[in-house]
Amino acid sequence: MEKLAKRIIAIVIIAGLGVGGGLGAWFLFLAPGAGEYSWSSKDCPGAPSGISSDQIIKFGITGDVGEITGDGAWEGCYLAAKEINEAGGIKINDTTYYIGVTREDSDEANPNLVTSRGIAAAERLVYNKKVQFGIGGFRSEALLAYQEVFMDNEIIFINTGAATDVFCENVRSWYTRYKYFWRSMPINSSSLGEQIFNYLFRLIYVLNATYSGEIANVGIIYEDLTWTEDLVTGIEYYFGPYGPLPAYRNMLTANIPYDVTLTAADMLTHVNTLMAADCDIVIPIISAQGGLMLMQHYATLQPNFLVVGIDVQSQLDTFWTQTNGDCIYEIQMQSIHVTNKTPTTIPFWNAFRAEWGHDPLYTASGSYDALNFIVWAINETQSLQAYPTLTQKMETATKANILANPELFPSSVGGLGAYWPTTHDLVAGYPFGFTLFCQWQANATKVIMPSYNSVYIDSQLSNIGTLILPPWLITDWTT
Amino acid sequence: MGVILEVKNLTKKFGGLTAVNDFSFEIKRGEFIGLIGPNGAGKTTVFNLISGFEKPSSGRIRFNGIDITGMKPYKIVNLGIARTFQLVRSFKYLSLLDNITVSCLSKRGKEVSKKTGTDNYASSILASVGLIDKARIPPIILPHGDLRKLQIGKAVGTNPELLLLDEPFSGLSFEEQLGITDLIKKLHADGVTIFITGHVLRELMTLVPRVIAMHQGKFIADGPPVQVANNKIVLEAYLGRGVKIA
Amino acid sequence: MIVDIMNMLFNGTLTGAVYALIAMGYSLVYGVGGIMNLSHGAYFMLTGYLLLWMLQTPFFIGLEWLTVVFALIIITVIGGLTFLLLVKPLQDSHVAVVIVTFGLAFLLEQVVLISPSGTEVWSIGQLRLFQGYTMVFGYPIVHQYVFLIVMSIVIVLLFALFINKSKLGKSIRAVSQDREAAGLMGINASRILLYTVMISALLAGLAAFLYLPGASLDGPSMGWGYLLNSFAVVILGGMGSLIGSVAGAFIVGYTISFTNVFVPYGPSWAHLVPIIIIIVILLIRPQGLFGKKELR
Repeated sequence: MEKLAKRIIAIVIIAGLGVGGGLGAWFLFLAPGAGEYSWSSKDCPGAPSGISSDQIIKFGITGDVGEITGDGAWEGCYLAAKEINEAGGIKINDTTYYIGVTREDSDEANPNLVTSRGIAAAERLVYNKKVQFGIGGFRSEALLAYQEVFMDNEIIFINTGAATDVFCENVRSWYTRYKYFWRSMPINSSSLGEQIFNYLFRLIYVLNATYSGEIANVGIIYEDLTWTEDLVTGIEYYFGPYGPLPAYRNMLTANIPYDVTLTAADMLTHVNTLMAADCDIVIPIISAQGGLMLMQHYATLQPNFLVVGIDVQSQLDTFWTQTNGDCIYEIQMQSIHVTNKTPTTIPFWNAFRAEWGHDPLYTASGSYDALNFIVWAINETQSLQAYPTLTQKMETATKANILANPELFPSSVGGLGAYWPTTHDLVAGYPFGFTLFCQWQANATKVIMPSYNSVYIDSQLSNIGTLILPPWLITDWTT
Repeated sequence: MGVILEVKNLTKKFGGLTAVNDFSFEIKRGEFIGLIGPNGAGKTTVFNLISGFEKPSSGRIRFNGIDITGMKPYKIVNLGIARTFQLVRSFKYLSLLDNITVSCLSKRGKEVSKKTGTDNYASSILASVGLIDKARIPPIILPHGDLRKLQIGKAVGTNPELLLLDEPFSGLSFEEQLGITDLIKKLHADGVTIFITGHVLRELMTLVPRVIAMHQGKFIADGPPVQVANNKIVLEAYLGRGVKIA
Repeated sequence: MIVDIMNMLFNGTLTGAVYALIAMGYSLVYGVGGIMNLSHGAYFMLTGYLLLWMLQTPFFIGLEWLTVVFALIIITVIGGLTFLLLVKPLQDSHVAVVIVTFGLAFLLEQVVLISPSGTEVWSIGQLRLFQGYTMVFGYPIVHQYVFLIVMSIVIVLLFALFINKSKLGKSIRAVSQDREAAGLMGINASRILLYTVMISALLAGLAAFLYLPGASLDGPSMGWGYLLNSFAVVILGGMGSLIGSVAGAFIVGYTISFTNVFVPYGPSWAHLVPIIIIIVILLIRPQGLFGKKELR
């Protein structure tokens, strides 16, 4: 009897946990009504209460809930919607509409990626929540799978996180199907590679002039994932035997792709390999926990190289506390910082910090721009028709048109928002899509580095600081 | 001499089969008593019920006045009932000494062993069962007779008041049987109440002053061996119905 | 070349030392109770986050060492509760135990995920005991990791001594070898199992305390990777064999570091190595190198 009673208790506990978890998930994702999601004013930040579902323009955000990238996409869209709604919403043919935002967890930052979760998230947005526009994306492998849900249903989707070139090449090669796909952030991998190289080219030139030719070897360490492939190919080319600049040929002495599930011990191995290869500059191309591990070992071992590259986690201000300051001296690329990339960049930065209490990640600024871009097109055309009306309007945001008449186009925060009409990809290069090189310096300050006019015109940007080398590196390079 | 074990209306059913059927008896403190019956009579089931390995379908078991019906085996051991198995069970990879030590760490075992130290006490038990020269080897390489002795030693380590010995002689050579017999007698002399089963009458007759006989789960006789051996029902149980004893 | 060999040896030892601690407890629980505790990796992860949460609390400023004591106590208690509330009532069914501990691991992961620090990676470097490094043959030996390796060896030895010599250790081995017979010796097998699950949680917690300050908290899902690798270690060494777990841990550690250092593009698939080990061992020697379910 006693045993039976205990078994019953156990089953009750387990059932309780299960039901509790299920109910939690229910309230988080599917609360009102079993079948169809009913939109209300609570989905529309800043909108008056009591508005009906018909008055809501419905945006669905895909991203990894609980990870900085997915949360960034959500926070950017939320802020954009709030600003529009607080300003009275938008009028289409004299009817007032408000912006509704909702999100689903695509779990795409999970190192052990399951792409079907992303597909399920997209399907919930499209079929259950009936969204009219989609924004989000981060991990290329996941987005490649779930973008199809939006394309199948002819819904405009703006990618705000995945850099792989292939997405926008799809638009060019199969326009009839992929014309609903856009990318507002980041610039594609090839362009990122180009911008890294351009920056490093100048940086190495300046350092070699200062320290009499100390920079001879470059190493790369990167996540073995789709998004890094084009970037790595670019860097291997620029620093390889057939690079465009003879002085920089054959500089690449260490090339470490790693599995994203790596542990700190693995990273220690890699840092030692980089040290053994005599690297003077190491280029990380990292989106996940590897960045923190790299900088921890960097702080402990004080190796004779400078870290310059992509480290997504390091883009947030919280990275300093997260690493206990071990990230000091790292130079990493980020799309946005407190500088006047465009006139709206700093106001956005401040509004975002006021709303969320931390700096915006690139997915946040990209999503903010993406939502504003679509709303601009709706406003201009007074239509919600994805194709042809909105798509064709959005395709007018070309480089030439924006340079000629900037006032006719929406103000974006990550750079002037111009798109290639054939690929729907963000135009790369100053003053459009360009990246900022920022360095962590003492006391948790992050400073924008001069790019020596290689990626951006230094004199045109505010808050440009100076490069500070780690003391052990100065010792090594001057003796 | 008070009653140490009281079994009342004990019944155990396995599905449709009644292994023990309304079985009752009493054992007094200090007794040396046998439980006999042919193969399949239910002797081992009775032991399993007393030692807590199985729970009775109905009936009560009291030990020293405490109701132990359905208690967990380890609790029953800690009250003072130890048992051995017909098929020897030991900790295969512990040394013989450690095998005994583990039993000396039980609640009642500790009360005695801590006076002399667990290791010393365990060694003395191992010596008393005649295995002290093999203290460091594990039981997997021991002959069957030694395993029986070890098992009794392990039961002794728990410092029992009542010791249940299930078929301690089966499968042993005559010499080995003598050794075990001496061991059991010595334990009884030390004041342990002994309850022992066997399916061969002759073995028990010379050893115990009182036997209980059972057949097909039922109580059939209780008394001195000679008397029980001549009981008609007992003979029928062993030899089959209709057999006449001259 | 010598630097590469040093690199491989040191990191292999480091990885092996961490997995020895984690896998030993995992193997112990399986060996004693036949319990496949899939929440073992979550104990490791949770200890890291317990440390982090306490370090973020102003109360513990200047009392950092107290966080370690508390975290180890809490994780041991959680191990005990796992057994009492979930495993014990269901222990007759292996499948139920696997499912319920799997569920618990997910639950713990989600609890950490919804906590304020759950979404980012974190360093808990405040708990490093040793700073800096020493050059040996041109290779920097990090002091904190030397401490880890030494401590791991000490803990493994103490643990072996405990299992073989202590009274509780003998009872644990007795239960592992014959649970019913142990009951006849007056041993409460359930309580022994409770102790082993608590000890295994404590070992996972110790591994977290020794390793994570020099490494990082990689997110609430980090426990799964360690669980999978411990699984490989234990299958390689033989389920339930403690010597096997320690040997298996170092073999897996050196294999991973060898792949990382010497195999071209090895870092991309170094973590497939444990999975390959699982498959190969299950095919050619399912009982593992040191085979045997019971603790000898």
